[in-house]
Amino acid sequence: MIRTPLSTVVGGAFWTPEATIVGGTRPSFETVMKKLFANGEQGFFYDPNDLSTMYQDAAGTTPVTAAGQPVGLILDKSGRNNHAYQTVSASRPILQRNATTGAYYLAFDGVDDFLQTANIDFTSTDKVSLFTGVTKLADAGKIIAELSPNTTVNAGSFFFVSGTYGGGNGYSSLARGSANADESQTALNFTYLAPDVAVLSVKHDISGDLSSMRRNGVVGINGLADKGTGSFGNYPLFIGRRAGIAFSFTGHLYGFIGIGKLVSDSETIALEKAIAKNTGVTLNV
Amino acid sequence: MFNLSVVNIIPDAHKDAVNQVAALYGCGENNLSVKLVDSNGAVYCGCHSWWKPEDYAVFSDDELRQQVVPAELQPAFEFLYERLVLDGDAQENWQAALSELGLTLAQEEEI
Repeated sequence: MIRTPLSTVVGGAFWTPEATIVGGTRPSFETVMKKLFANGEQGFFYDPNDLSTMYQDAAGTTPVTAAGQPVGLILDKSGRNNHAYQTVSASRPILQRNATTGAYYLAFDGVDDFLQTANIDFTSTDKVSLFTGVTKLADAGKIIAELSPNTTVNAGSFFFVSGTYGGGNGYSSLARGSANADESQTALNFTYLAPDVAVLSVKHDISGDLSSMRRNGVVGINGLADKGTGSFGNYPLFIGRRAGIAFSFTGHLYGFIGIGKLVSDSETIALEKAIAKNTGVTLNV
Repeated sequence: MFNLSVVNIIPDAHKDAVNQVAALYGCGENNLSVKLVDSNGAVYCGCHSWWKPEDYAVFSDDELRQQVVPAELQPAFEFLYERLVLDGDAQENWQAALSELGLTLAQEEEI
């Protein structure tokens, strides 16, 4: 068993120690998380399994202590202080617990729930990697997360969608630089109808004209069209609803990680395995 | 325990008043954030929220409401639709409410 003593640094609850055992040849979760943000990369890491990072109100006054409580603030564990909050009572997701795996998740009601951050400055990079575990409970196109109020309007942003988009139903993620947004720039992973549980890892590279997504370890259709030039922007991150007004996500979110670089394959597999343990899915790797 | 599923819907003309009241109760701004339309094109606004039953009892108590809510905002409550389901499912409650009132989401642009 390979373990490192870093769980208190990154809040290892999201990644249980058992999830870090990868045959002795791959890095542990704790090592991955420490290394992931070690060089000052911009990013975020939200971990619903770490109750010490959540509050029922946006001001951080009333802690979340158990499943069934609203989440008005979830602290960013990346060290970048990109905390996600919700000031409106009706729009707060609820912390719930997976009866099988015991993992906690954020339940979004598909009506008006969402979290958002202050601006996250990704202007020093044109590469982003995203990792999450979700339960998709609706087939209409919904926003899992989006950097900026609208990727179609704002250069240097991305979206992450569940449901119908791009001629299919499953999961998709688009990022672009200066070029106009187009479906051909989008990573697609079809067909997965609701209810569907998925571990999703996404990589976006503006200068490399690549958007790629793995669902449960399997690569989908890459988006290879020209993304234009430039870096990602300095925008708020919306989780669960576009700009806080549309395409409300109906489903569960088992944490969310984003970092301004392309994560290595070995790190990707380690992260996917840990998320899979929480969601209860089997990876095809 | 936040196990009371609550759908609130109100005609657009009264949305601001109810949102002001929600803010007075410490619920934040713009709780009624989902734009809806009926078959005639009339606009409504709605929300879904989870409440502790005892908290919602306080929120909906007429006597207390008269003490907390300014008189000019109170008439709006005559138009407030409420659908409560204890231990309910948010989407089921929401969809049932829209069906009862003959409402649909206002047209959203494509993703």
